[in-house]
Amino acid sequence: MKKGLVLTSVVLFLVVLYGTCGLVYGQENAWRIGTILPLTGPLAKNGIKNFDGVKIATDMINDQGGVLGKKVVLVSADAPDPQAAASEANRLITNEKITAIIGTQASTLSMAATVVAEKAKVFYLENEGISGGITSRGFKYTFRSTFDSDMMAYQMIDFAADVIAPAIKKTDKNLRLAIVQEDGGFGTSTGKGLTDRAKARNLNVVTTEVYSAKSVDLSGMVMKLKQAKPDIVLAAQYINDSILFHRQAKELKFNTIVIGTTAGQGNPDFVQAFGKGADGVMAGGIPSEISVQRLTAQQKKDADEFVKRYKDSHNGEYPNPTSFVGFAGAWILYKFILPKAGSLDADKLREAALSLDIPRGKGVLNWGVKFAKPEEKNAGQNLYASAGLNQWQNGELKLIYPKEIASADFKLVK
Amino acid sequence: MISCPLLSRNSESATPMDLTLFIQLLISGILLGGVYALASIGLTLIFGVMKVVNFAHGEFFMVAMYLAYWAVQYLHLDPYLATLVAVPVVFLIGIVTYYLFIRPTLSSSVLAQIFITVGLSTIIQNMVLLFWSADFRSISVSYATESLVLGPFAALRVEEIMISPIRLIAFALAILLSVAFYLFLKFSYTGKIIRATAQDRSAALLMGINTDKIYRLTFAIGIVLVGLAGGLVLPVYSVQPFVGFDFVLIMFVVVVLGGMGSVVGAMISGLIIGVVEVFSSYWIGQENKQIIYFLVFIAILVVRPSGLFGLREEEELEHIETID
Amino acid sequence: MKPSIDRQQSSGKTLKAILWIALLLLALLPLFIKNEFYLDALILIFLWGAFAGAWNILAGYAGMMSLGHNAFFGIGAYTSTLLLLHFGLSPWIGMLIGGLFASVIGLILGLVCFRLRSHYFALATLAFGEVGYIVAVNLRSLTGGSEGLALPIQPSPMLFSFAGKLPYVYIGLLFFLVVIGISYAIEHSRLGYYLTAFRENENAARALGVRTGRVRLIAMVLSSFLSAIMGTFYAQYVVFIDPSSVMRIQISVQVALFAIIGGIGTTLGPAIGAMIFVPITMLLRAKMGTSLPGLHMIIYGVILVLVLIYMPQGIASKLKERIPLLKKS
Repeated sequence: MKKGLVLTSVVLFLVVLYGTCGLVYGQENAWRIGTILPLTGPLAKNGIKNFDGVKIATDMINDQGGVLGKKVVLVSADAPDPQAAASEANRLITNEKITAIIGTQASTLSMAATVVAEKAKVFYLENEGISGGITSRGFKYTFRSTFDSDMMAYQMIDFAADVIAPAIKKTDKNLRLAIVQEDGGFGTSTGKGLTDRAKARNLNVVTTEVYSAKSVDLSGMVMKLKQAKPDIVLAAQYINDSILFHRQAKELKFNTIVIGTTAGQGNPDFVQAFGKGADGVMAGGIPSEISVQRLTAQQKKDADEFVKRYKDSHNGEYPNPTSFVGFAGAWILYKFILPKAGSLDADKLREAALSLDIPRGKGVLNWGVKFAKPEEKNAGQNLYASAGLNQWQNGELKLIYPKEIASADFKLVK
Repeated sequence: MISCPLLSRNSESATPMDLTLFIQLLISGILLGGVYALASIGLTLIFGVMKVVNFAHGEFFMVAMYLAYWAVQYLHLDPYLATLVAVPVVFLIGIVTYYLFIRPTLSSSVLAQIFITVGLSTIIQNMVLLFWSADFRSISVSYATESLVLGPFAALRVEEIMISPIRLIAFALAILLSVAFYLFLKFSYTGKIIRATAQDRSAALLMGINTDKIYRLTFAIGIVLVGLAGGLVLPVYSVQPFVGFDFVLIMFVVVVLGGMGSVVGAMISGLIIGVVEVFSSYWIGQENKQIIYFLVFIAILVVRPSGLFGLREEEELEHIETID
Repeated sequence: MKPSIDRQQSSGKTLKAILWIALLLLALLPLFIKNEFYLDALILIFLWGAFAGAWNILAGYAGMMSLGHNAFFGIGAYTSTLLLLHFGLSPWIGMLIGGLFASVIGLILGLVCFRLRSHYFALATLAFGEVGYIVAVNLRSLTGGSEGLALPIQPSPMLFSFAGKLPYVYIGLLFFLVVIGISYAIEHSRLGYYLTAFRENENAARALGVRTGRVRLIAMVLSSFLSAIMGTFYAQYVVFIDPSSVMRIQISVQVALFAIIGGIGTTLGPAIGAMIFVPITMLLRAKMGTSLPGLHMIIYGVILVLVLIYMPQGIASKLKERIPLLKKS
């Protein structure tokens, strides 16, 4: 017994020791920034794409000479589920001595990881998760570079009521909306925003359909929507289920105007699947065209550089919206927050972040950078991260809203 | 008034079900069910012959889809032809799996059998994730893009009924293969041996049947059947490492409803489940439809565990009516 | 004869003494660990070990293979959390309410499904577990759906919330020991003998008058209660719950894995399983998560299969075989 137990415990101890040591890189002269993203598990598909964006941003900044002369080194962690996200955050902070983390692609992972970061007073930049909950807990060290679900959802509803409705000769009173949402975190957050905004504007939502993104058949739902006769369908879907949905809608001859999101209909795979058939479909979320006049020459260069590097490493594929937004978060950290802070000290980063006031169009994509102050309800939210409405026109995704930065006009496609 | 969020319809008006809608939903359900049927036959076969509940069954569905996908991408084959090409590979995978994972546990406890296939499921899912990445992959078929339209039948007051062409093809082939397999099982020599082994293993041994060989063959056939189902649905929706797990739950419902071990049962209940699923998603919402078939599942297990066509006698189940 | 009995008895005493000393050392150890990574690992070992132990009570001792225990875990987590968020009720109490709720559900499940054997029971519980997940996702107004529920992070011992990790380590250890203790008590009690009799040969057991239905229901109630408790512990530690973290089927499979590999039906089996696998998961994820996605899961699956084929009684039994002394414990 003694031998067995002792042996087991020694082995265990060594295993744990081994696992936690020797992970310090020999680069004292580099910025060590942690990343927490789902690289395995059910969320891996987008997690990896987000990670790609962050990696390209890191390579680009290093090629430009690093930040304040020092290179950036990523210390990455895989978080397939929320508990893993919390544990990995803990490990990065404790063993890797990380004081700044970029993550997490999915809101549920973010919610768990940011708790650990907040308790340890570590700077955390959320680059994609859109759930309002992330920035509504009054956390001091959690910031979000991208828009939140309400910003995107409200814009979709407003566009439907203010731009599309008149075009189809409808008013707020007789406009018929339908909401379709996948039942995961993304669909739920966005759906909530859509529902709330529609309610606030007294718009008629004829039906709300919730479904699992893993469904293999949506015909029942399509038939139900068809019976409800909506003028516009607002859909919070991922790319895969949006393709299934549109395909079955076409098969069952359910024609309607669709405003989706860049997570779904706005994904390059969508036009791959439907070709000309994609024309007219809209997607709210990440503004598609980043080569707009409002950007400075340097930013345009950076944006094009990102696209080029992505294509080079992905067989010529145009970057995924997830990769864009992953890139954007990292870029904001490297270009604006870190240089101003001058160190990876969490409090300095925090102060630097809160002091930024970069107008829209001068940040990254066509965003600005201005984080909500601690007193505000959504402390840490980048208020200048605007969502945009895009539309497929002739096989290209064009930005059609807001007008000031749009590169094309809305086209009504029957 | 009790508000039941799970069951209340959240649309503004309850549209009465007219004949057109009913037929449309029915057809969609049947098309869906045909694929469920083919996919589940293998599962019920394996259980019927070897008493093994193959929790990893869905993963073979997924792997076959990937193989068909690669055949389409690199050999530029038609997807249905690609499925055929994938069959021998899938068969081999079935044989190897049998030797490595199934055979060692045939005489083990139920616990061991269940969790070995669970472990196998984990291994396959993550190997696919490792080698082929988490990306969703899909293909389109260039020819079957326009819906078939039935009607309208003014006399019956039925308007147009739309039939998805790719689902129709999948359905037709699935039914064909299922029936072919059934005939094979019923009339061919090998089929009879398989059935004999399923009915009574000891007797089969006494009759000189090499049960090990039969088990191996049966397992491989079961895998091939689900693999075929996978290939048939590739044009319909995409494949990713975890698609098998989502599908396997449905397959279990089908198999239990039809009766574990009954091929005919699997075929018929596959269609039933397909129809139930589509109608439920219309009536109580897409999100809630899963609850329906899980409740159906539990209800069957409790009320009539042998299912509609169960062959197995009640040795698997207790007869004690009261909890003592 | 006599000398060997004496030797066994004195060895038994030595064994007990060693165990107590080891326990004491173990209990004091966390005080000296400053590294929060190790503390986190310990907490997770206790969490999953206790949950695996709870599962083991039903699956190991009563022989009823449940794949739906995630539902009990989730019920515990959601009940205490919702009571906290809506009524400010302390999770210490909410935990007990959650446990009670889970026991009632478990009781019903048992009454309905215990008549099923092996495969069928496993499938029924699988469906049950899935329903739990679906309900958690769909009842958005109640559970927040897939967005999940965030718990307050202000430390407040009365509300089961602490600033540092150390309190969680000790609470976790307490639960861990409680589950082990209950398992030990069951194993050496009449209940345990009844359950063993049922497991070994149920017709004979029934013929001898063992009330197999009742004893299994007792095991189910204990098992579901304790699982729910661990769900609350999880919620209080991670401070965020959602269906994917407390209601997924994979959770059930994971604890079953720990219990099986550690040694199903033994007191220490689940604990051993957790002690081996939690650190290994964290290690593999740390080293390889980013470069070779899914590799640690492949390794798990392979180990599970190998253990089931070659060592189906698990590690604890192998240890018991090698060391006759352990048989007395």
